[in-house]
Amino acid sequence: MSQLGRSLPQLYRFCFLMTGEAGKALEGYQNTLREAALLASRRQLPDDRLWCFHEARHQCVAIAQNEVQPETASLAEEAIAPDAAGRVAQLESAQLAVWIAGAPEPQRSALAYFYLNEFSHREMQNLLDVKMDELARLISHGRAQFQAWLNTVTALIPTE
Amino acid sequence: MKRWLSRRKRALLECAPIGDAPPNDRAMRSALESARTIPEAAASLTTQQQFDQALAKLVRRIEIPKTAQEWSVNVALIKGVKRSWQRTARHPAILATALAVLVMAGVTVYFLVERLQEFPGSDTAKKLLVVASNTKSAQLDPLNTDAINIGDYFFMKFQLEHFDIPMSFADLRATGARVFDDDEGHRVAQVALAESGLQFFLYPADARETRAGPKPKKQSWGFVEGDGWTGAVEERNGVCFMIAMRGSKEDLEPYLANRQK
Repeated sequence: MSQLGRSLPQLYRFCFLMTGEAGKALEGYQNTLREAALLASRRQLPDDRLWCFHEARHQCVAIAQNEVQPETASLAEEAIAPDAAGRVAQLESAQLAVWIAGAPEPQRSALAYFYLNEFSHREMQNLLDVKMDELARLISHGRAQFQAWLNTVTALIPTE
Repeated sequence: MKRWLSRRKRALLECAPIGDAPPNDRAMRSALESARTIPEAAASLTTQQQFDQALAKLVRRIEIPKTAQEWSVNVALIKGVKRSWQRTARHPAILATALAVLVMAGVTVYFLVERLQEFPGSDTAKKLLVVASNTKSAQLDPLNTDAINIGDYFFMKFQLEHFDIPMSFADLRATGARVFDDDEGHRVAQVALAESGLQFFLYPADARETRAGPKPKKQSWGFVEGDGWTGAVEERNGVCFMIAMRGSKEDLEPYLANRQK
């Protein structure tokens, strides 16, 4: 199977995290693959697995630009709680996707790339075109904001 | 949190890999090892990784719709093209680097060739070619003798030892001579000849240059050009003898070859 073929499930998941909706995710995913096919027909498609994720980000951002934009408000942040993993288990994948899709760029892309558990930090820097400190800041704030949101939507897990 | 670690390591820990497998990146491995040696940092890292693992698990649960899965058949035909070396070579950064290396190599070769052409006394010889082109016959003491006698003349009149004309030029007729100090205070003897466009110079070889410069082969001439004149220099007994001729090296070389016979 080609590099692109092996990346397909993760590519769809990435689109889903970026858009928060199955329909839009499919649109971003298909647009990416069509672009890949077009470039391959011109022998211009790079033999690089990062290319399709880079392109998918571009496609998903373009799709999201036509939609209602999230308000730019500073979200509450909380330190990661010891019971966070238990609280996350109460969530559906779609809830996580909706939350990530609502984050502003480039935090949305950083979180989507990071939680795909597919890339090294250097690859993420390359994909997002940010420096290490900026990438760390985006992920760190994302975690703290997600924890604050998690506390409001999930039930407290009783400690023994 | 984690204030006891450097800023760089703290940044790396924020992006720590979600899985338990050791990372390939050396800096990341070092940051993780440092964090695990400090109890507070280790606890914080463990909580973070558990949180990240829970979220990554949630991401892996995202179902892939059938429409998306169907693409895998077509995608097998889509193949990327490896970047050829020609394309890599055309990258502006590579081109700029190659150009810089070429320029540096050119400059190095130029200086190397210049250095190879130099010989002890060549700097003085170049200056004397200017003197040769500007000297008027009235500036010289009139003489009418064979060149072989000039050595005695310089010794008797100016106490200059070893200022002798080589035997191959002994039969040439000297029509004038003078001794003057050059800009470094060395005594220089100049001889005008009956043959038009030909002069002799004798000057002490610089002791420093003689030691530092490449040793000339026996009886070999070092050539200098400038101001429409060409000089051939030979060192003997600490004194440089230069024959200066109006024209180029191509004119002087056959003349010298004839004289050596």
